[in-house]
Amino acid sequence: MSSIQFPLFVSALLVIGMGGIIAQTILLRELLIVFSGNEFSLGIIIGSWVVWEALGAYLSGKTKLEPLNQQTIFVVLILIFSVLFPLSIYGTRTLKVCLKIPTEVGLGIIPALYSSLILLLTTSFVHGALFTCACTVYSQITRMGVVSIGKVYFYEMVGTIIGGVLTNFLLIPHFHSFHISIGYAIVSIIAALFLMPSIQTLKRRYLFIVTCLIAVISVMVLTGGGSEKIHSHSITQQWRGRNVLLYENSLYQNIVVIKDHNQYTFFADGTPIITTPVPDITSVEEFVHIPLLSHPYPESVLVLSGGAGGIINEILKYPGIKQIDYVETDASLLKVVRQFSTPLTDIELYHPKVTLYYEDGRFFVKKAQSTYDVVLLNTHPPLTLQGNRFFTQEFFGLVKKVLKDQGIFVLRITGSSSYYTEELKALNKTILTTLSSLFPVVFVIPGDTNIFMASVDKALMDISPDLLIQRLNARTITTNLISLPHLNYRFDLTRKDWFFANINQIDSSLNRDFFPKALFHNITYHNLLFDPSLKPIFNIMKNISFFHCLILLAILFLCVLILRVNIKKISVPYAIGTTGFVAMGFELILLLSFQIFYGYVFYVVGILITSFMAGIATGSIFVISLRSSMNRPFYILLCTECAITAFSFLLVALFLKPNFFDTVGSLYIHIIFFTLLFFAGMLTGIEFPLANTLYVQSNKGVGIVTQDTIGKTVGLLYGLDLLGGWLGGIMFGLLILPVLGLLQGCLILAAIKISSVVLLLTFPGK
Amino acid sequence: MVTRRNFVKIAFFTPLVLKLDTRKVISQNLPPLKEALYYQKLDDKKHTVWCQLCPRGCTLSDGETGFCRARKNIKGKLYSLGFALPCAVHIDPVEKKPFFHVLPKSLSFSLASAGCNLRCKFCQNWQISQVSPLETMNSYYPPEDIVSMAQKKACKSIAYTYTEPTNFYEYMLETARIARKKSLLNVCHSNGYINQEPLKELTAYLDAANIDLKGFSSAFYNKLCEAELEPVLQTIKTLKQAGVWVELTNLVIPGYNDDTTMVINMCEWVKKNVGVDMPIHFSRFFPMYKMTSIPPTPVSTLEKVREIALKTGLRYPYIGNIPGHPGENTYCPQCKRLLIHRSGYNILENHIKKGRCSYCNEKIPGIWTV
Repeated sequence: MSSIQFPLFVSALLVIGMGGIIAQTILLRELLIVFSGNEFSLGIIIGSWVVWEALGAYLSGKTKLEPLNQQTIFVVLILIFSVLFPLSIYGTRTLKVCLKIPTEVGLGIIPALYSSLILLLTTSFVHGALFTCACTVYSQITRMGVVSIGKVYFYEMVGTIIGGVLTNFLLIPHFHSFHISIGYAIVSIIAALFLMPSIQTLKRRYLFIVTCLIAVISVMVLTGGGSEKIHSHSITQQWRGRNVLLYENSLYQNIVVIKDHNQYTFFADGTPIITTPVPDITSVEEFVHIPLLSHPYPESVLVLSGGAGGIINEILKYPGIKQIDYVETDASLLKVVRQFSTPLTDIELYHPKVTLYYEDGRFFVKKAQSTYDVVLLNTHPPLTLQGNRFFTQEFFGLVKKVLKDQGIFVLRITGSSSYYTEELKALNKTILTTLSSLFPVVFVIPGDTNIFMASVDKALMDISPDLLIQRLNARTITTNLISLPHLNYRFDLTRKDWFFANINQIDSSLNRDFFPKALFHNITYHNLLFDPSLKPIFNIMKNISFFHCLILLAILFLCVLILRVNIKKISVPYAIGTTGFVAMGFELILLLSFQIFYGYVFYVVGILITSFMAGIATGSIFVISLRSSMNRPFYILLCTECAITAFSFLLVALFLKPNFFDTVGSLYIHIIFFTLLFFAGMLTGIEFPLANTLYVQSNKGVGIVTQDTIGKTVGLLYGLDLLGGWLGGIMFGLLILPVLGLLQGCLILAAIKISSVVLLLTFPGK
Repeated sequence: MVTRRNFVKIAFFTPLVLKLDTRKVISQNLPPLKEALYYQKLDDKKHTVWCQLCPRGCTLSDGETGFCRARKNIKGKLYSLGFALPCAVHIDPVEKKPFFHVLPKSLSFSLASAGCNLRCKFCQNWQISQVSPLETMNSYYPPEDIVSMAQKKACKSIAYTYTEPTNFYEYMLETARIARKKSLLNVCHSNGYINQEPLKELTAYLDAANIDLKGFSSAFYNKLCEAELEPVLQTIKTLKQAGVWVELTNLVIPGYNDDTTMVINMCEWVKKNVGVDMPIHFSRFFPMYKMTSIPPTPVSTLEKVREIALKTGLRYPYIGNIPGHPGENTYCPQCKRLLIHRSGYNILENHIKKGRCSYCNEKIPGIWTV
């Protein structure tokens, strides 16, 4: 009986690794369009993937099979994955149609949870099963025992890196999801076909025929225009028969253009952001004219995001304007707006006074050489950590530096003209407090959307409807809405008193980069739209303190101790699970920090994530190669655990003195972050093979490492690693960081790791 | 101000409270729960009640709250949870309600208690319409206080609005009674989802009503509001017959109720059943509440819809949410001259004198003076 040839098998491992990250990335993007994208949606989608993958890995490890059957299953799983991947994409796009929900209706946390669990079940479960199966098969081929796990982990990670780079830099910008998924299917089928000759089983012939059939169909669909048809059909379903003129994925987001009569609406990740030729007049005119009329003579204006589609057009009405800088992160968006131009956008995007910048708005402000009379921040209140960077004290400080003496900074926050919920009060209070901490004058115009104007010039406090209309007339500007009666209505003191009476019921708090309170408040407010039943949970989360977290950790530790009676080797799985959690926390902190100190640049963030994964791969292969370390796994594991603990403290030291990064050049910033992420990944990567070795050693089958043992071990530990990582992402990103801040967050990570060290020392499991 | 915590205490201790003398309750400064109107007690053993205020006709067992979340069965009696406990009290221009043919430029004392008997996926005031009065921070304003406050603030009308006034029917009715005596107008903005009997009782005090005619099909009401169309049409007819001034609002949602046939049918119905003098406001829709992934209404759609209304013979079709659009203005149906020039909620010009066109003397229907 021969078995699979080693080089072909390694190729297959790389392909599997690629498949995981490609499927995860594509399905994540597709699902974000279907859900109302906020951090919770992201966490839920990734979590659903991780949960099934962990379960797939674990259950696969539990199954006992003959070696050749195991190899056959391996090949079959590859085929199943390649078929399910495109089907999942179709399912995602047509989800709302299947659930009989109007496609325009957003989905909240609970429907997002069960939808993503259903949609991701097949692909991620199979992928998890593939990993465990691969470890078992690897050990059959090479007879390397438990070291196989580390090797497979390494190859998988390399495949992930290759796949990640390919997907984000090459595939997504140029091909749509069905092209990518069917193309991947063909590649993985070829890999499977190469494996097949080595498998001597009765069913080989049938397997071979089926595989060839799938391959042929895939090629035909891909090359014969079939994938285009599937793509168009699914989009028609997803957009419920609306006239979709364009559907494309930029590096940053999905962009869709819908035409209705002569109106174009531009959607980003399923949310409309620009409407032409007639925008929301009230919104646009108030946002531009109230601040610009409040300024004695505006000449230079900075617009951060969403300037096209009305705002710039209104600014251009001012005779004194000499310069408008418009910053948009996603160049593709404006390219698409130009493609479906109207006279309105032509004026805005081609006007000689308008200069377009395609970069992260925060980074632009940080390095701006010009100063401005008015800065308009046109982003929505934050629903992601990344979005929160524009509403923090640190960012407001950067804006203050680019404002001229009488300069005005303007932003908008969700408001209400009838009733303020507690969440909305908290959101507004946080932003107002943060603005007031830097600007002596903050003028509020409450309404369905609240306009906040901030300045160092006290003259802003003296503005009045009469003054503004006087200036409007003097500047001979015509508008649809701005009139004396309207401004009297908007400046009404009763409404202002009501606004302040509401928000003064809430304690002040600042929104900081590393303490994103505004994000938390906005997520809880946003949640009310869809899942008000979850409100009590958010209320509990809001009041959690560092002490509570420590208590929870102590309870978890006690549970683990109790379980230890039954599971003597629990210290190792606990170590792996907690490392997954903590490592994800590190990754989040480092990625967020980079974006804070540098900016959100897609390529760079992609490379940073790759750096983390490369660290994992390097760590795992490094520790396997060092025989000495594999002879003393316990000692090395303990050292690594201590290193991880120390790393948490290092992060605290680094980021609580952020001025350090302001003085360092951008090249050094890149180097520092790549190194830190690589190092964090390496610590994680080192642990996994060690943990598997230790766990197998402490098993009952002393001396003999069977394939079953390997399967069970890797199934459990891989599953825990994934789950830990997912929990870390959710809890750290959404709960610990916004509610407790970075310092306490890092201390909690350190505490978690210390609990693991204590457990290891007390119960080595030998 | 009564917080919801206090209110929850009230609701929790109500079985005890009800046994107390009313004077004792007042001395504790807690407002007594108001027994609801228009319900029937069904079964004494199980204390079931049958609410008959709106077409839902909820049957509630002891402790259960109705679909509207604003009426609760406590030991076999139905109570209005929002009575004298409004969560929103503001002064708005009457044009905001929207009323274009009622006392232009006047102020309207507007209030609402939480709750609604519909579940519209595009609701603008969802924070208070999709919750119960037990969940909101409320003020305690008995009906007489509302009226005196409205008078002090120089308001010419009291508006029962924001959420769905049917849910605080008893509060609206009592306040309206007192307001009528003080020569204040009573106006409301409603979804029209109310039974005929309570509606008829209300019309004795109601001066004007803006009814949402959300879409002219049952399918629309089912899908987006979890309701039916027919009761709304009945309400409009009843109000008209009772002499209440009615204006209609139709929020035009692209792909749902902007179909030409649907609009024609709606306009024909209005012409045939309530007359061409009933103003209808076609509003531009922007993504709202749960309907987030949808384009706004194109201006040309609204213009087309208004055109259909005019061709059908409706004399006062308006376009809302597009400041500066001529569709916001009132034109004389006879001489076609501009009578009221509006921008948003603001009146820029008004050429209606004593309820007539100042150019050709055509009678313009509405309430132009108190």
